[in-house]
Amino acid sequence: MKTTNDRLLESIINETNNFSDTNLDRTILLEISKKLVDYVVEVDSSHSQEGSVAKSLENDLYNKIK
Amino acid sequence: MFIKSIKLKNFQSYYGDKNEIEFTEGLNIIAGSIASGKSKLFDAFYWVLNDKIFVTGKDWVSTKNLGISFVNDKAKYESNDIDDLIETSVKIVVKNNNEKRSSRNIDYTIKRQFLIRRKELSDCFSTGNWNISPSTLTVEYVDPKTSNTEIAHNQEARELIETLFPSKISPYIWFQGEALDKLIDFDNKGTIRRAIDYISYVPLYKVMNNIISEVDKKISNRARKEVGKLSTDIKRYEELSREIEVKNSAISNNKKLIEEKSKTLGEREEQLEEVETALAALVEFPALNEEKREVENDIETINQNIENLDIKERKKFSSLWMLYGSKHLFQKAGDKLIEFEDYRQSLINKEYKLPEDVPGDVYLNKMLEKEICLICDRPAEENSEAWNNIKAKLNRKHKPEYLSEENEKINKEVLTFKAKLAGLSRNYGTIQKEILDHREKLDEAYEERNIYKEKLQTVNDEIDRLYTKRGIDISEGAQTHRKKHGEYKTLNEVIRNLNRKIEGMKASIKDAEMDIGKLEGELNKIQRTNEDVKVVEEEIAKYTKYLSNHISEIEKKEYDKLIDQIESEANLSFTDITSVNNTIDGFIKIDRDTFRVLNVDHDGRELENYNTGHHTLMKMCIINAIISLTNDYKDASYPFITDAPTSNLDDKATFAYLESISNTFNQSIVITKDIAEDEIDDIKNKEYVTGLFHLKIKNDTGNEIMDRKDAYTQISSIKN
Repeated sequence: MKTTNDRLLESIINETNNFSDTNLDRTILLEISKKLVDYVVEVDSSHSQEGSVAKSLENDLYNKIK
Repeated sequence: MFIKSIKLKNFQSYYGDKNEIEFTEGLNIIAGSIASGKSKLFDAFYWVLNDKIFVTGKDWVSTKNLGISFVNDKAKYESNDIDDLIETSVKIVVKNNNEKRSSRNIDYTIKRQFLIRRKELSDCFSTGNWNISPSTLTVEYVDPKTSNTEIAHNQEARELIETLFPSKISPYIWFQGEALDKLIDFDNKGTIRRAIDYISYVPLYKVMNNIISEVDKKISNRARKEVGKLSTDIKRYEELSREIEVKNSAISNNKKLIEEKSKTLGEREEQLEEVETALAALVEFPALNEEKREVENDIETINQNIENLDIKERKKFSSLWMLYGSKHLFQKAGDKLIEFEDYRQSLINKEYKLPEDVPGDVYLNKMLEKEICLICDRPAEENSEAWNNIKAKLNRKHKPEYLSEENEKINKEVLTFKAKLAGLSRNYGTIQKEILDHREKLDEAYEERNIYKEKLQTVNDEIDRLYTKRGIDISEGAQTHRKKHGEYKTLNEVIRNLNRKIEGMKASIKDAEMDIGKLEGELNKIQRTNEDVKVVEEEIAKYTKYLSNHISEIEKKEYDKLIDQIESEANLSFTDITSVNNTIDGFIKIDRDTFRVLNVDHDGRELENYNTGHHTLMKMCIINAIISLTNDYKDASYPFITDAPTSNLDDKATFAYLESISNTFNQSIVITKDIAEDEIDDIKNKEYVTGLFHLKIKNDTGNEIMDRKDAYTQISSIKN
């Protein structure tokens, strides 16, 4: 059975497939999508603050790419 | 999650404490004929969780407004002493296996109890003869962490029930046939939207949008800083970047405000919908109340008129009536006076009857004075025979004794009286007319009063009908309508203001976005020292911007996909059921603009003349679809409990419907009269039926007539 995480990720990846205006590797885009979905599920399940997870996601992305 | 058992004690038709049903997972059917206690069982499920009972014509009524009506009659009848205590209770045991961790899959025993104590020995069925304690609620469970038995009371217990049976999903799992229209109003476009918000992950796209927008803002700032370092005009680049940051910050603030205002707007719109529904339900109250007041005023005016006419009659007409009553007496007196007058006149006529040649007094006196008969010219000396004859003739004219002066005076009075009597007799006609006119007016007033009393009775009947239907009296209903109308006006004003503010903020965002576009255009014109250097932040920002611009589209796609799924799932059940029923055809379609549920043909054209049965069936299929998708998306299951769902369906469609829900729900409890006793064996052998119970009303007196004081429901378990 598909989890909420699976469903959200699937819809983002479908949309991402139409995005080409970048020099980034698609695996990086996938990483970003996965992280984003993880944080969304975290907000939903453990009532984390959106602002707080946005900050975490920003740092994650920055660290990952650097 | 599923309900393991229910136990009823002195609840409605369930007497004593031996009424227990142990359910299975899968489809449980509770069959019984009319008035066997089926709906009472549904009431028991609803009451234990919600403290309310469905009363036909009154909707859901709280325990506090039910008096002792739902306490078993036999138990009340058997109470003989002051201070006798009767406990009414319902207990259900629920196994919650929705939690991912098996340690949390625990049994909850939910019990609601209601106690009444006898205070008067007269009529045991009268609420006034009992002391009533408010109902109490407890939820008992074993805490998996401590292994201790915990008991939650009232508010805490209600909160636990909310987690077990979320109120957002409960309308779809508590389906009372008669209340279906009220529970699920698919004409309200918010209904499907709310269902989708609850059953799916669609609301999470808003969370995603908020997060990615925030990240995009931060990454874009970083990107601009990094790109700025490569700029040929760093000062200008930084100035423009700062302006963009300020604009972005303003956009963020406005978005946050829009979100807050939109949330408030949504709440107010929901409140407005509730108020509109309440107003629609109360719409008859003010008009009826006004009509009642007007009719009562009219009756009051008529009563005043009648009273005035009565007083007038009493004062004026009592003497006239007496006079009118003495009419014959006065007529007789008048007749007597006329007789007397005639008699007197006859005497006078007789007395005055003189020959034609008799001279008058002057002439006679002249003859006596001249002592000569002037008729025959012969002498008539004084005291001669001739003189005395003349004298005698003069004396003959003297009145008899009864014509004396005194008697004449009396006669005059008699004549006056006679004239008055004659006048009076002429007035009798007028008096009679006046009295008859008055009586006619009084009769008209009485008749008018009767008409208005009938009118008042009609209004009161209508008021009683409304009371039965809505459970509130006319003045309370009219007062509530006034109050709700005030709320309606206020809410509309609030909604208008909120919309104005939101539109204003959206316009500001649009302006700021256009400004940012221009500023970014200017930024892009500033050349970089090395165009070949790639700034990774800039690349990430392109993606985060792309996502933040597209998430609302993704949400819409997912939302449409869910509507498609609901429609498709609903049509699966609908086709199963309608394939065995020739009177219902077509397909279910959810209008994407209005969210109305329609019955359409192959080409999507709405079918005409589909009836309540069609509509009910479509609603039931939509419910099936929503619950089925809830199980799928939320990985959670809820028991489906329904009373009289199939009353609009024929036998074949009933069985098809039952099979359909057995596939949808992990547990369903269907209470129905649509399975006759001779069909019990047939249904028992159906694979999809896992539990079958039969309800029957009986008594211990051997009497065929079931009297409320000794009849009770008997539960027989046939299959479980």
